[in-house]
Amino acid sequence: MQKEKLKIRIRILASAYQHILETVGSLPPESGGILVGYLDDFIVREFIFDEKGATSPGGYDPDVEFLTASLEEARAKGYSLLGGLHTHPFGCNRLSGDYGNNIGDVGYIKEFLKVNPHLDKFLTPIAYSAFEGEFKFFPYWKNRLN
Amino acid sequence: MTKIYSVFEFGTPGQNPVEDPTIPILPPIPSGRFMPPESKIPKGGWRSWFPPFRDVYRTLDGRHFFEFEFHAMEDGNVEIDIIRMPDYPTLLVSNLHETHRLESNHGNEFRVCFGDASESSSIDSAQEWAGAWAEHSMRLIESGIEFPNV
Repeated sequence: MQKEKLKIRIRILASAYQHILETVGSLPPESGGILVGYLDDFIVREFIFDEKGATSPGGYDPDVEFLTASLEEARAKGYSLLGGLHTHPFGCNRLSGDYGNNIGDVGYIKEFLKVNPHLDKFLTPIAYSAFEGEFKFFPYWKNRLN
Repeated sequence: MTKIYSVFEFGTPGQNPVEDPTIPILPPIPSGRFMPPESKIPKGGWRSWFPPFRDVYRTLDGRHFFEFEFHAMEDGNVEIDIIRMPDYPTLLVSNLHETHRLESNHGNEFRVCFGDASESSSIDSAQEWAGAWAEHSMRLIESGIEFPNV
């Protein structure tokens, strides 16, 4: 049981975590960014804040162009996309469903895995922003096989 | 910055390589690592459980306010209920076709009518459409100018 728990731990550098706190962790809910690091250890080494994404009280649509350019810069360091993080309003600590057209958390995760066949899993933590109270981090991810 | 040189395949033997500005500068791959595969960011949107939310639009002339309620639908589209807006002239009050309205599915009176519901498949596009609808509605109310795509 303990081993099982260790398997599902998301590992993240303190500097990346701090960057999350300073950006999406301090903004109104429904903002986010991507998590990058080496594929071989899957440790999140950087958080790239999507400062240009379209946000609203009910959702966050990433700025694909901005994140793609940022991801290319990260790739030059040997980093790969590992996942995406976004904040939810207080009280919504679960991933939302698949509403079609890559809308909704589960639907969007499916598309991430579809267009990135080299990823065996995709980290999708959500967080509550301190903007609404206390910052909280909920570790989720999706394995390709289940 | 790393300089890239090209060596002419059919050049004179012993010729020194020359700097070739047409070759892109290679990224500084960390020692002992390969470049990871190229990752892609697909278009789409993260959502919370998507409680309906309201937002107010102010018309371009600054004189009127429209309040909308945005509802995420299971098909990925967003329905826009009309909560508050300037009054229609009497003749238009019940004319849903000309005013581009439909009955609400969420307990409100009316919602915005789209020709193609998928035009409003994200909050961003829904808000854009709601704003455009508000501007056309004010032209209709104040000047009798019909919506352009009736």
